[in-house]
Amino acid sequence: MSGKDMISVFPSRMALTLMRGRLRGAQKGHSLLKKKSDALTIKFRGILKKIIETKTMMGDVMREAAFTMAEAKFAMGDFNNLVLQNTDKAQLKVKTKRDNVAGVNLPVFEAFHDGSDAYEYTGLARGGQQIDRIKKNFAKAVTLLIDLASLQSSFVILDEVIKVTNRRVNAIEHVIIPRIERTLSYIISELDEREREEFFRMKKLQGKKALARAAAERNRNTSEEQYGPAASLLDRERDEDLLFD
Amino acid sequence: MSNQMEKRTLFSIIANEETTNSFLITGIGNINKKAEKNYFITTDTTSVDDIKNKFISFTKRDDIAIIIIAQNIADRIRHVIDAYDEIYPSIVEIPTKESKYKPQNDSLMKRAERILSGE
Repeated sequence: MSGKDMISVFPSRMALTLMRGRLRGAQKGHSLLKKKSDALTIKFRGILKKIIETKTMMGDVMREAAFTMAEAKFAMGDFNNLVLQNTDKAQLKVKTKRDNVAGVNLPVFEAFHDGSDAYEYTGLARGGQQIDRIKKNFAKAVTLLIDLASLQSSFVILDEVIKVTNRRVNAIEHVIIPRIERTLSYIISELDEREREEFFRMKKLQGKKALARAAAERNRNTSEEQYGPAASLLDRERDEDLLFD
Repeated sequence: MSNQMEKRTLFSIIANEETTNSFLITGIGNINKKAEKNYFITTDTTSVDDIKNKFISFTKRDDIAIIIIAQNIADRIRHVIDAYDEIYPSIVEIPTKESKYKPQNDSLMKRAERILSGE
């Protein structure tokens, strides 16, 4: 990446106008991208805050849910194996929706139920209510988890996009605009130089013409003095060169 | 991209028996046609390698959208999670009865720290 490179153009007034247009375009692009990057960064910080809040909240939800779990175990004994045996096809799944934020496609997860409730029959006499409560509590945790996952994915995507946008902003600011500006100053200096050359040449020509005219004048005057007026064929006087007249 | 996303519908969970069971009760457990489970129960004797391999296999599956992992287990394969760079599946670290949530360990928080302090 040489520091002295510029766009190769033939320096002309047309090129000058075109270059000026390009400079304006690059500056506009730069400010737009900067705005986009700022907007995305603000959104990014907002998401980060929400993630921290949600995770802390989830800590509390999980603790409460774990408590109900302990209660149920106390009432029903260990039903872990029952749960494992009944696991076949998931009923609680996620759906992904896309949300457009400042030009970036962010995913949003949503829970949805797929099929019947397989744990219907784990509702045994006393334990039934407990299981129900556990299910509700942990379902709450799952909802929070879904929100968290959406936030986290958005977070990661935004991170990438912000990095790319900032790279482009820097590229425009430190490479493209200086290159155009260098080209512009080159064109302007070339045009100026050409004008000066033209001017100089014209002056020289004028000088030469004036000298030539002055010299011609002088020559005419000197020859008249030396030889008298020029001979003319129409003169009636006697011509000395004729021998027999 | 949206076709891939439509296939990703499952949760998956890596935690101890109690936590995993609690989540399975809500109905997120799944065994697919290849007899692969989407949950992995860890015990005190589970090796770091096992956890690591299970984690990596979950991330490679194309039907998992979210991986829930207990933070104390995540700590044991911290280097793997820190190196994880994909967008999907999302990795969410959760606290458990034994381990309170520590934001300083969470890979996501560390990433955020890096980004915000790099500005």
